[in-house]
Amino acid sequence: MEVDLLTLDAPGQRVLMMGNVAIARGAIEAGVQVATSYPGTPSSEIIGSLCQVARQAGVYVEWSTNEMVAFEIAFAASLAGVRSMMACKHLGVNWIADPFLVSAYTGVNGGLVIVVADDPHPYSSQNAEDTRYYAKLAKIPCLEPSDIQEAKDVMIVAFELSETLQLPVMVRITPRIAHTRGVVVLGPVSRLRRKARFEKDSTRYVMIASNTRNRHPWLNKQYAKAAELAESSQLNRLELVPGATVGVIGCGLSYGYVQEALHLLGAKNRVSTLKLVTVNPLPTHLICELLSSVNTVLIVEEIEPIIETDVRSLTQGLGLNAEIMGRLTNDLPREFELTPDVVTMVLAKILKTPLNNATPNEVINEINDLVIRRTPFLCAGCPHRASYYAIKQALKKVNRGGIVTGDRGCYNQGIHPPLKAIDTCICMGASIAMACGFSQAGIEEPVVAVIGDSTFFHAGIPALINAVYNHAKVAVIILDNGWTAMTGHQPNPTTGITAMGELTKILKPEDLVKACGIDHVKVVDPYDIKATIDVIAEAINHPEPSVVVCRHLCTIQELRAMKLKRIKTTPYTVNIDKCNGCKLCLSQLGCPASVFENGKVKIDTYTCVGCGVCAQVCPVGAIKGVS
Amino acid sequence: MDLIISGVGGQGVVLASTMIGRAAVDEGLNVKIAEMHGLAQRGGSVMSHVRIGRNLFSPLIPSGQAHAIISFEPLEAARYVSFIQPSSGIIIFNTKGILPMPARLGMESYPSVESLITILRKYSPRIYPIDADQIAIKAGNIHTSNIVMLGALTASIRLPFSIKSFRTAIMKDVPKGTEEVNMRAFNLGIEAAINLN
Repeated sequence: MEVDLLTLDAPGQRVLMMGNVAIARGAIEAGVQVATSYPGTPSSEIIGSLCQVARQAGVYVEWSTNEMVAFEIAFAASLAGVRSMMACKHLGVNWIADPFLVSAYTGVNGGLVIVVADDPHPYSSQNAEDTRYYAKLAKIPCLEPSDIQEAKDVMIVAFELSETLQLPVMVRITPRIAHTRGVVVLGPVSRLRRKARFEKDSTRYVMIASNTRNRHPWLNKQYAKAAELAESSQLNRLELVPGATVGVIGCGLSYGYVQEALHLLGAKNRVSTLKLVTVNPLPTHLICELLSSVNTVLIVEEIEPIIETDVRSLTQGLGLNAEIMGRLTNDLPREFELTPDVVTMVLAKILKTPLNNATPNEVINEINDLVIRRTPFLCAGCPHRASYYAIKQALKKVNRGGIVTGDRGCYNQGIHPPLKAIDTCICMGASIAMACGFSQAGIEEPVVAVIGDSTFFHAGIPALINAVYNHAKVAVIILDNGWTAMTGHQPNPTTGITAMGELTKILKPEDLVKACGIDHVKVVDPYDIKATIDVIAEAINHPEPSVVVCRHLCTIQELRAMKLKRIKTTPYTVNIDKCNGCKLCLSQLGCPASVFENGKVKIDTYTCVGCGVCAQVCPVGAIKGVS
Repeated sequence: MDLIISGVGGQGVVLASTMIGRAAVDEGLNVKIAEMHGLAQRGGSVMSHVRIGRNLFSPLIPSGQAHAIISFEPLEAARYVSFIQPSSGIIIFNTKGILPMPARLGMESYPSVESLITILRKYSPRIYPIDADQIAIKAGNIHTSNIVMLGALTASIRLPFSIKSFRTAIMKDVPKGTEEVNMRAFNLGIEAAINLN
């Protein structure tokens, strides 16, 4: 198992590791003692792997209720002198922004490292923001590893840098580090174990304005020191080629694309390169050395032209004449993740080297005409499918139209046909407050908010309190499947276990809902279609804010539990004589276990998990369980 | 050597890529595997870039550079075929199609395997359509179809590591007690590809 490698004390051994796991290993080699996170693709496996060896490695690891909580826990641990880390996806940084920006003023004691996974394309996020802006905003160092080995190694540097500067340090990665497996040479596992001790100092830790005014100059001084340290960092590498007129700066992983392109073009000895890992603050002298030796500099960085803009102003400030090219100048595409192809193309253009492109475009076009889309969908038997069907039927029953505000989780797959069940999906927790907004703005149709269990605990509660306080006329449906499923099945407050595998109290959303002041709360199993439709219709018709908890364990978890108990699923089949080919089951539910063949619906008994929802939807009773 | 492994989320694309990677690392080779995780997995289109050997700079394979594509589903072979070398790249795929949701709903039509073969042949004639599901059933377990495909891979291209290391890496990752059926599947896969040579 890959996680066993996390604690393997065999310095020098070569192992195959996923980038996220390599980061966890780096933290162990650095002596991390507290690690926290809220799951989010592409960052989840960092803490997801670390928690599996937490006890053995002597690290306290937790899945927190949200990123802000996770950050504050790691921050306090750092103030108590122990090395701590917090990991999240780029959107998680929006949540930690408040304490994170202040932590740069207080400074830290034990090294504090924030690992952030950006999603440039994006593959599984609602935006493609560039987290490096936050490092600039907070005035803290940001390191961006260029490969998997460095993803591990950079963690040790980050912890040391954090303690040298007394500042939090950010490590920024993208999916091509997070989810790339590569060869890693292990270093020694750290024996560092500090005793937590908090030395009170109100001038530092009580951030009232008068104290902050003293800390602001300190932060600026530390930030300047960080820039000095970046100049001598061993992580950066400048390779000046004598006589070269073209230079390239490759930031983090993008440096690999630059090397790939130069290799393909056979142009290594014609181009000077700077591999940049200290992406904030910049080593300006090092960059100037490159700028003053060439006529053209291409800057290859992921997402926004941040360094390009800085280098441009640096050039102007120093009166250098080098032409700066990159994403800002549209020489590299302004959007989407970089690839070796786009970097090769622009370098070929700059170097006036012909591209050996023998791709038969006509054939590719012909192939693409045949290839149809394959969008992801809810699993066979997913309770969310049943809940969405019931919400749509309930709105039909109430017969006044309806708007459904969605939230972040597996259940945003409800957007795809045939369900097409949600009208908005913005960010964690937005469903409830946006439903209130529609209602308060005067929308007369029923407004229904749909939110998952983990998202409800993460960000739904303040909005629900607001709904009660301000008399918003909304129905909130909490889809409780007991797990944070989308990001790879992390436990949460509804699951009953912690990240480290300890049993803990199960928090039921309905109890919190009542405490928030909601009087109309119902719990229902969405596999019971009729009851669910009735309960939701009743909630929609209720004159005050109402909540329905649709509770059924995530199908994947249910199947795992059944397998452990050696219980077999009982799939459903279609009685072909009875099936009238109306396709209602398919067109309303879109279960991946059913398919339309020769005018009838057929259920693949291998895929069917036996939830029985389609049997309840069939108007002629043609679907039955196999006994 | 550069390989593209593709398929549908849940088919085991990541696991198959890792098996290849481990075999290479065990022989001291350098490896980079770019995978897809997360939401993209749930029934969506999935692919990995597997790179073995020297001069591995980028985890992503440049277009038109891969030596082979191994796809666990016909449509997913066509989707990513432009990553392989035109005319000489090897195309191995499981002929058992999995209908995407729009096709299940009758909104789009799934191309026939014959039409896919005809058109892919124009890109590169070195095609290995493998009925991996049937072969896996013959081996004794339909779940071994990916191992059939890995067997077919070893017989259609000269991998940079020994079959012995490959077998060992595969055996390490299959569920306990299924070693024998998986080995049968692997060998039947080799046989199937040899028959197409």
